[in-house]
Amino acid sequence: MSEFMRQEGNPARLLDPQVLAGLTNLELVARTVVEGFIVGLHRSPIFGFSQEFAEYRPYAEGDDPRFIDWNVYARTDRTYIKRFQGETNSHLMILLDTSASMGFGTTGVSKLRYGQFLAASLAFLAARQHDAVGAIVFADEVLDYRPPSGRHGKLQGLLHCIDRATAARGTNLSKPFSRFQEHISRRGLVAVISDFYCDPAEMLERVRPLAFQGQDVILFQLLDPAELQPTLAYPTLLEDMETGDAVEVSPRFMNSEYPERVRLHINGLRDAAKGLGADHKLVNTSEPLDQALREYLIFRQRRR
Amino acid sequence: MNLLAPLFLLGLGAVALPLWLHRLTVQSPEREAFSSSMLLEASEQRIHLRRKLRYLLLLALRVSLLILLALAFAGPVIRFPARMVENTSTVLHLVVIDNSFSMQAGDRFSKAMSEARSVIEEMQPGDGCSLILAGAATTFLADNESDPAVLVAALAALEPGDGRLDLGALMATLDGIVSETRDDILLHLISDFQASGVPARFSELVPEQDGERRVGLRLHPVASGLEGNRFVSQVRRDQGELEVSVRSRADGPVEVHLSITINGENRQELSKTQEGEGEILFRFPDQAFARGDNRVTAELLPEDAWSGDNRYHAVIDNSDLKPVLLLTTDPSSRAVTYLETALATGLTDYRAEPVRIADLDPRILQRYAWIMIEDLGAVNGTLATALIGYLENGGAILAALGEHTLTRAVLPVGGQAVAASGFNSMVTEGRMVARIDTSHPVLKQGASWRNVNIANMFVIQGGADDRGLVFMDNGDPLLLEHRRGSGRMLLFASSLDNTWNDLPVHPVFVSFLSEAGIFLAEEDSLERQRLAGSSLVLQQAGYASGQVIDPEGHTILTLADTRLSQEIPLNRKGFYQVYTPGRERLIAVNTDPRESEPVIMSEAAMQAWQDAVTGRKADDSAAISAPAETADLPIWEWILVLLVIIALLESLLGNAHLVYRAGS
Repeated sequence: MSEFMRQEGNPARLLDPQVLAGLTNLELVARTVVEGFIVGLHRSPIFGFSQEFAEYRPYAEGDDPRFIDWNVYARTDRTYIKRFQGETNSHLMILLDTSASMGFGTTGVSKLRYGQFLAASLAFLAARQHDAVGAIVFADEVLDYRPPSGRHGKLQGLLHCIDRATAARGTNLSKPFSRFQEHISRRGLVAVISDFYCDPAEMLERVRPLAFQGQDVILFQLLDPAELQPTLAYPTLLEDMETGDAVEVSPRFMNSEYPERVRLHINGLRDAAKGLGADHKLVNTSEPLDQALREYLIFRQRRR
Repeated sequence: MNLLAPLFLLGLGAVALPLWLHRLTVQSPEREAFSSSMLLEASEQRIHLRRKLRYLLLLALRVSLLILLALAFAGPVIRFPARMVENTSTVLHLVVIDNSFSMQAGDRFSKAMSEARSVIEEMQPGDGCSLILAGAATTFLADNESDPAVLVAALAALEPGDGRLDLGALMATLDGIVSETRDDILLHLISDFQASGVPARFSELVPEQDGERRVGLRLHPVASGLEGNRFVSQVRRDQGELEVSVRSRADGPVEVHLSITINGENRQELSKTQEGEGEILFRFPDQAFARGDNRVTAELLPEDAWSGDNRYHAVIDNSDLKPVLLLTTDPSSRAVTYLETALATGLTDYRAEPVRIADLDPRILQRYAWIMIEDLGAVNGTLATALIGYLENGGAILAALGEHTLTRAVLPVGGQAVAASGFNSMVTEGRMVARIDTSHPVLKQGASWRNVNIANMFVIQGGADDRGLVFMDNGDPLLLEHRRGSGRMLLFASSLDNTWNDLPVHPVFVSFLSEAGIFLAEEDSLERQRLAGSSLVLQQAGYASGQVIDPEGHTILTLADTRLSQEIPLNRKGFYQVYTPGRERLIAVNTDPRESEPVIMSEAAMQAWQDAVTGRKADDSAAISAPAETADLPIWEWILVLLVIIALLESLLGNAHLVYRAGS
């Protein structure tokens, strides 16, 4: 907490994942991220974000009386409901991968922890925009499922669901996506947070039904800097965190050939996502979360 | 496979070191968790597998290196049947076959031939073999021959000889052969190993070795047990009687018959009972001999296994004694007595004829081959002139000095000056004989002259024709040889009556007179009784040339050889005829009586002999002391070659591994 207080004067620094890792409460993390992020947005000439007014409509039975614009009623003696831009009745479904590979991290923050930060921030941001937020925590099975909800109390539960996830087991994309299809029929946003150590073709196969369903899908691919550009000095025996297989690698391979392989893999995923109309965002876990959040907002704005 | 030094296998414990190091290395690489091996799998697993195999190969090479090193030190040998193993070191088999007289007994020689053939058959490929026939002489039948057929052929038609084998002399000869050979040598002695052939010092049986080669010894005894023997050991003439000694080396009483043959005529046969071991004497009285040399053969019956020594040959010289003129002033003097006795005792061919000087007719001098003068000073002028003439015509004189010389300043006949006249010329203090010319024929036993006590002698100054033979410690000559014309005179500078010196009663006086007689009369010194295996040199016997005919009637010398000085071997028993200008002499040759001794070396002695030779090289010589049924082929050289190859491979592979480890 003291670390957080010392960094309070620098909003961008507040989004640093290593700083966030010092916070034990995920809700606090999400709030800090989003508040800091919004502060950043006000300074930005490019992006704007607020509860922007969209239109008025006559109050109808069943509308929440909290949204009646009493100022208009005072002037016109008619009840109108004030509607904002963000209030588009959309919902966000966050799919968080908690497979063992997500436990990898060399920057002090594992990919899973970073994904938890990101998921919580997205949920908090969506809730702030009155979007319904749900989550599916999965590995090779669906470990936890929170249906989309706009209630504040539900957000607490969702954040708790995200917070308690631990990295273990393997990865199986088919099951969370199938579960998603079973329960979500309404059109919305789907954010998949994973390292996507899978075949792009397989991923394409799983995401395609969602695209056909009209869901807007954004893929956050979290990768550690050591995965993007490894630096080995000696031959090393690398053990697969999911399968336990050991592979001895040479510095020559890891420092030159492996980054190229990773690059090709990312491009494959990106191309596959593009083919489905989905977005793909590569997130370096050493970078602040604002890039990911900004990407989300751009994505959301484009889909509106 | 066998190991010569299995303790070195303890070195195999070192194998644990690379195993431990490799285990550490395998465990040591940084094992890090990684998110996924999905992108590594395609390339790195294959590389890792290959590297792992290479790693195991490196480990295997290192372990092999240590195992082979320990194995090489352990001295591995592969045991094969001896015939399958190629000889890495050549062995020279020296097969020595005894062909001495004793090998004629029973089937000894045929057994020896069988043993020799067995040795040849057991030779390994590449071995050489020298066949040596050893008896009175050592003869090479084959020298370092490796073809068994040639060696077996060389054994054909061999027969035992009549000579004697002295094992000490044989080993000395073999020692010379061994020292000139570079190969390992295995001596095979095939003999009956008579105890009489063993030298007095056992060490003479062991050849010297210089350590450069291995020398082994195998004894092949062919005599079986103790075989009894009786043989004629001597034939001697005593006036008209012949004495024949028969020696027995057999148990039990046996009636023996002995017959003698003189000049081919069977004269007499006697029988006696011989009780066990010992010697009995047969006497054949009243035997008539022809003048000159007589061939006498004594033959013993019954025949035994050693039939060769049942016959003995002897030469009996029945020539008349030749007179020697002894000039004296008193025929009854002691000097005359000493001279007569010494001539008779010396078994010379001469007898003294004492003649008073005053009674002598000088014309008879030419009848005598040589003349003795008791006191040269007693010779008057007329006689002196006659004696000078006698000398110049080839006569010979042995003269002494006596009291009559005291009045002489110059000696008659020889003309030598006496240093002083009267008793002043005498040396009275005790003097010793200091220098003796033993090369002179009359001084063959000259060393004994040193024991002669000289109380008085004349100091004589010899001339150009005089040669001093015996000198006193002050350099004065005691015995002179004076040459005149073709004659010669021996001059003794003291008396012979045992007053001025003790020479007449000294044993050397007898031999001196004998030799002086032979020298002065120019007689030959031919020995009439010889042993088989000895040799005859005519020139040493006093002959300038001659011819020798062996017992079978074959001439030994070619016409060219007759005038050359060379040794003529007398290898066969029987009578050899020696023809020299104007004379015909006989030599009887018999086997050495030691060859007739049936006692053989004990097994313990033979074993000690073998051990003394083979024991010098300890274990090494055991390999060549007896041909083994199996042979060990050492393979450590091949292991070392393999070791070098593996070391090279290990270096190359280890270097590649280092390159990989460095990540370059």
